[in-house]
Amino acid sequence: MLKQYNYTFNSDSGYYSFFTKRQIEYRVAFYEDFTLASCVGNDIELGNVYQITIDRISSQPEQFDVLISETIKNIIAVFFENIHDALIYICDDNDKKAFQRFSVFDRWYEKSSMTNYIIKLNNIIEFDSDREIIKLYTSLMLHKENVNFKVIKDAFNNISNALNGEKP
Amino acid sequence: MKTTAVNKEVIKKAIIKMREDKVAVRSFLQGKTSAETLTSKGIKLVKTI
Repeated sequence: MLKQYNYTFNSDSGYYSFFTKRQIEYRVAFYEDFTLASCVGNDIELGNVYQITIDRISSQPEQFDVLISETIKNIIAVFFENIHDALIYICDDNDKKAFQRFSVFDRWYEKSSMTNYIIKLNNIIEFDSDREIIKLYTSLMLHKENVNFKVIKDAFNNISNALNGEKP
Repeated sequence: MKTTAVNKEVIKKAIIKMREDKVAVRSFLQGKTSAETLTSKGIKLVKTI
């Protein structure tokens, strides 16, 4: 019995992908993110911070399939074999469904064995960009043994403080 | 941690870029945006595993 779907890395396109039993394709991309670097001085080391985006490539209605979350959890767990890398996941609230996606991601994490060695921090960021009110549900995941743990954690937690005009 | 470098406007721009990057990458994953467009926006997809 399958515990997860097999996934591959498409080196030409730069993303991971897998197909479900209903032949729905999921694509997962990791890319460099410098948001936290903007929150600290130039001389402060953060290590590699990436953002992850997961997308379902189908217009078919979604059906519950536990293997999807198991596969994505595995991709993330393997990501943290590089214990000094950190990962940001964001949900944009422009379609008013961000909280649901955010909650799903949270449940995946809480039900996984990753909780033993990965810390997940949540931060709801909201501010006026002059053109619109931006509301983002954000999560930061990092390994407990990351050498830059405190700096990364503080930078992430300070985003809201800085935006709200509070002292970091 | 040093706290002197925190600048509200810089952080706002970084958050906006973080959001725009995600939109661009989703569009790329859906086949609606080219890899060249991502590159032009300074987005670099990586093989982390």
